[in-house]
Amino acid sequence: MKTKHSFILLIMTMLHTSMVFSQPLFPEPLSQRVANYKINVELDADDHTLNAESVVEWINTSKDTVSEAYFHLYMNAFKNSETTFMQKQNYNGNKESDFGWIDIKSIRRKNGSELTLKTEFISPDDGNVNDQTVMRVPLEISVLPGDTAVFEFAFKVVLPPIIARSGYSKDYFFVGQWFPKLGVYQHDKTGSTGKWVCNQYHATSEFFADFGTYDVQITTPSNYYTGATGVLAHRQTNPDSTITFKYKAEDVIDFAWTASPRFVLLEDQWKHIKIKLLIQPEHQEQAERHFSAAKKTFEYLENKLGKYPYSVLTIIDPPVSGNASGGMEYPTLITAGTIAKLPKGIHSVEDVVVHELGHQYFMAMIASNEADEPWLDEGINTYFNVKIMNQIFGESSSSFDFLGMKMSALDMHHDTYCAMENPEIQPISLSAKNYSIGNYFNLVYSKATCVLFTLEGIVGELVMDEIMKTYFERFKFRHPKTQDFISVVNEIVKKHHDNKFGQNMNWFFEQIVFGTETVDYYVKQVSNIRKTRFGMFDKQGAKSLEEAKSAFYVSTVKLGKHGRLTIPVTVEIVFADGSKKTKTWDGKTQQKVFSFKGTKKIVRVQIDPEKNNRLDLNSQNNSYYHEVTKAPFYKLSLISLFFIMNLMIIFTALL
Amino acid sequence: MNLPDAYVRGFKIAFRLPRLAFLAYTIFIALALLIVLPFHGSLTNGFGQSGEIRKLLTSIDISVLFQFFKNNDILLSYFSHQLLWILGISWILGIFINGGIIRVLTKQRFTVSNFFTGAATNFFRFLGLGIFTTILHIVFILCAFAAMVLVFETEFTNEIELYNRIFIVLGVYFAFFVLIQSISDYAKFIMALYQSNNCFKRFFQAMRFVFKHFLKTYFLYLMLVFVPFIALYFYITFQRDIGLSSMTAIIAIFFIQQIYFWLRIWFRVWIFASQLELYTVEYIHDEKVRSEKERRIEWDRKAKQMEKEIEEKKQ
Repeated sequence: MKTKHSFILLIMTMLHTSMVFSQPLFPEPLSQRVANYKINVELDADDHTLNAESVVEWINTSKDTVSEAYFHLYMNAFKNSETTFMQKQNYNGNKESDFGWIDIKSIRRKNGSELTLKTEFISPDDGNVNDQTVMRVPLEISVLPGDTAVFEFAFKVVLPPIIARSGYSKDYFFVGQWFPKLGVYQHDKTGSTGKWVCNQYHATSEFFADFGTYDVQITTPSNYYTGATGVLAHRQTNPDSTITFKYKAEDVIDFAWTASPRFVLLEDQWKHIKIKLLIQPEHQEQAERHFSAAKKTFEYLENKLGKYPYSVLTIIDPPVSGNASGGMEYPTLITAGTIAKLPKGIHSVEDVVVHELGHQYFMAMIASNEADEPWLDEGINTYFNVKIMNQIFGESSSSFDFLGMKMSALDMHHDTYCAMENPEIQPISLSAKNYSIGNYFNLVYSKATCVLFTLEGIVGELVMDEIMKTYFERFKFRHPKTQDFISVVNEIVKKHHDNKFGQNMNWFFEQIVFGTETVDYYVKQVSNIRKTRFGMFDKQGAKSLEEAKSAFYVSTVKLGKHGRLTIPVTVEIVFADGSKKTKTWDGKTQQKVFSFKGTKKIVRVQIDPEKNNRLDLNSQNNSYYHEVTKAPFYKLSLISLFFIMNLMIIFTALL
Repeated sequence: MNLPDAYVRGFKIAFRLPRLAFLAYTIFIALALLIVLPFHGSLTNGFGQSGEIRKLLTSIDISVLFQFFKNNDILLSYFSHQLLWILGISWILGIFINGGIIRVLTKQRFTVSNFFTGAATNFFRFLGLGIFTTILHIVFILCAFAAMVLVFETEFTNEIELYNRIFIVLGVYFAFFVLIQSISDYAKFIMALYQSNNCFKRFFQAMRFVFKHFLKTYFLYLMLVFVPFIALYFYITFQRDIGLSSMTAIIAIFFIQQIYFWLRIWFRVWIFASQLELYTVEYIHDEKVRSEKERRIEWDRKAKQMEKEIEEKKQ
C-alpha cells in the first residue's frame, strides 16, 4: 500500500515537474532564443567537482551555412598559471587543488556524429597555446540557415578555490561560467560574412552570449540550499541524501548558481518581482539594506528605462572567505558582498546591490559584447549606479557619510579618473583585454561615468533620459554596439536641440570615447581697475561736462585651458552688488577673456557652476573668490592640532 | 592603602597642582604649533582664491581634500616628514617633562624652578629607562603584529570569529601595554627617590613591586587610563553637537579643545600622583615588614648566640 502511494506520488511529482518545466514563463518570447540549454548537474561538495550532462540547441539565424561551432570553456582559465587569464592575475597556485578546469568527456550531435575527438582548443585573441578557454568543434553536417543544431555534452568541472567569480570556499560554492557555452555567430558591420565571436577568458574581460532558455537541474547534498538564475520550478529530496533543484529561465544570456548549507533565505516583493536574498547568518542584520536598495533600484530603472520583465531577482550574499565571488551580475541573479557590523554610513552594500542590479538592464537585457566594448555596459551601468545612489542618499554623501566625512559617488569616480598617472593613456572604447586591471576600472567604469555625466551636462537631463530610454527600448534583448548608442544620441539630440551642438554629437565621442583628450579649465586672472570719468562727454546730443565723481570699474576675467579636449562650459561672474552674468565659452581656444565695465567690481568667478563638465581634471582652480572665507582653514588647522597633540601626548605617555 | 584611597589621594595632590599641568601643556602646544601653523599657511596658499575650500566648512569633503593634496602633493610628504620629527622631539620632551612632574610631586609644591630642576636632574636617568621601555613596547607591538598576521592566516568560519580573535589580540596587547607602563612609572619613582642611574636594576625592582602588589598597581593604572577616554568621548560629543561650520563654533571648539588638552596632561599628573602615593605607602609598609623581619632574625640570632654562650659557660 505504501509502495503504491509512493509510486503514485512519484508519478504525480514527475508530471508536475514536467508541466512546470514545459510551461513557458513568458507568453511570447522576448528574444530570439538562439542558444538554449538543458543541463543536469550534480555537485560533489567534498571533491569540489561538478558532474554534468547538457543538451545545447543552437538555431542558425544567419544567412550562412555554418560548418563549425565555437564553445567557451571559461573554467579552463583557472587550469594553470600560463592561461591568458592567469598571466594577468599573478595567481600563486602551487598545488593541484589551487586550480580549476573543465573536462569534456564527450560531445556529439543529436542523432548524428560523435565529435569528441574532433574538437580543438583555439586562442583567437592571443594565440596562447596554454589557454583552453575556447573550443572549436568542426561539424560534419553543416547547419543551414534557419536550421537547428543540437549538441549533447557530458562534462566534469573541477572547481578552484574561489577566484574571479567562481569556485568554492569551504562549504560555499559559487558556480559561474561553468558549462560549455556557445559563442555568438555574428555578422560584421557590412553584414556580408558571419563568424563566431568567441573571446578567450581574460582577467579584465566579462562575457558575451546569445539569448536563450535554460532548464537546469542541480543536485546537491540534502542540507544545501541553492540560488540560481531564473525561477525555482521544483525541488525534490532524493533517497540518496541529495536534493535536486530545478530551475527554469527564459530570454537570458547566462546561467549561474550557488549552493551552501549556511544560507538564510529571506524574501521580499516589489510589484511583480519576488526578491530572494540568500544571506549569511552573520549578515542578517543587513538584510533590509539589501532589499531597500534593490527596490529603489527597480523603481528608478523602471521609471527611467522600462520594466524588468522577469519575475524574480536573487541576491547572493557571499561569506567573507568567498568575497571573490561578490559584486557580480548574472541574469536575474546578482552577488553582493558585505562584512558583519558594517556601519550604516558606509554605503558599500547598497552600492554593490544597485550596481549589479543595474546590470540586469545593461548586460542581461542590453546584451552588448562585454569583452569587446566593456564601457558600453560597465560605463552606462555605473552612470545609473551613481544616479540611483544620489537619489537614495543625497548627492554629497552617496558614497559614504561616516565620522563627519562625506563623499559623493560621482566625485569618487571623478577622483579615480583624475588620480590616474596618465589619464590620456588609453581611450575607453577598447576591448577589455587591452587594459591593465587598474586602467580597466579607472577608464571603463570611472571615466566612462564622467563622460556620460558630461554628456548629460551638455544636452540636459531630460534629453539624456530620453536617450537612455530610447536606447534601452530599441536594443533590449539584442546586442548593440557603441555606434548604435551614438546613433541614438545623435537622433535624440537633433530632435531636441537641432544643430545647437553641431551636425551631430560625433565630435564629443571622437574626443572622449575614441580619443584620449583631457581638459582642465582654470581661472587665470581677475582684475578690477577703478577708473573715474572726467572731461567733456557728449550727453543727449549736446556737449556738457559730466561730473567727475562717477567712478566705474573695468573688470577683466582671464580664463585658461590645459589639454586639448573641447567641451563648452558656462562661466558665472558675480559682482559686488550680487548681480550675476553668465557667459558661455566653447572651449575651442586655450584662453578666453571676458571684459566688463560697470560700477561694481567682480567678486566671484566660477567656471562651470552647475558642474556639468565632469571631465575637468582639476576643479580647485575653477573658481575665484575675491574674499576667501577663513573659517574652513581654521577648521582644518584645529582638526590637525587635535590630531597632532593627541599623538604627542600618547607618544610621551609611553615613557 | 586600598585602590580608592590611592585614586582620591592622587586626585587631591594633582588638584593642588594645576599650574604644573599648564606648564607642560604650554610646552606641548608650542611644539604642536610648530607644525600646525605652517600647515595652516600651506592650506591658505594652496587654495588661494579658490571657492572649493567652502565645501570643507559644513563637512569634510574628501574629494576637495583629495584634489588639494593632488595639486600640492609635496606638502603631504613634507608634513609627514615634519610630523615624524615632531614626534621624535616630543619623545625626548616627554622624558624631560616626566622628570619635572615627579620632582614636583615628591616635593608636593610647584615652582617653575622646581619643575625644571627635576626635569634636568632626572633627564639622563629617565633617558635610559625611556629607551628600554620603548624597546619593550616595540617588541610587544611586533608580537601583536605577528599574532595579527596569524589571526588573518588561520581559517575562520566568519568575520565575527575574526573580529573576536582581533579583539583578543588587542586585549592581550593592551594588558601588556598597561603592565609595561605601570612598571615604567614605578621605576621612575625609584630612580628619582634613590637618585639612581641604573635603569635595568630599577626597572626590575619596580617589576617586583608591581607583581607583589599586582592587583593594586595594575587596576590603579587601568582606572586612571580610563579617565582620558571619557574626556575624549565628551570632546568628540561636544565637537559633533556644536559642529565646526561657523567661525563662532570654531572659536568655541578651540577653547574646549585647549581645556581638553590641559586635562589630558593633568590626568597624567593625576596618574603619577596616585601611583606615587601607592608606592610610598606600600613601600614604607614593605620596609616596615622587612625591617621587622630583619630585626626578628637578628634578635633570634643574638638569642641563639647568647644561649650558646651560656651553654659554653655552663660547661
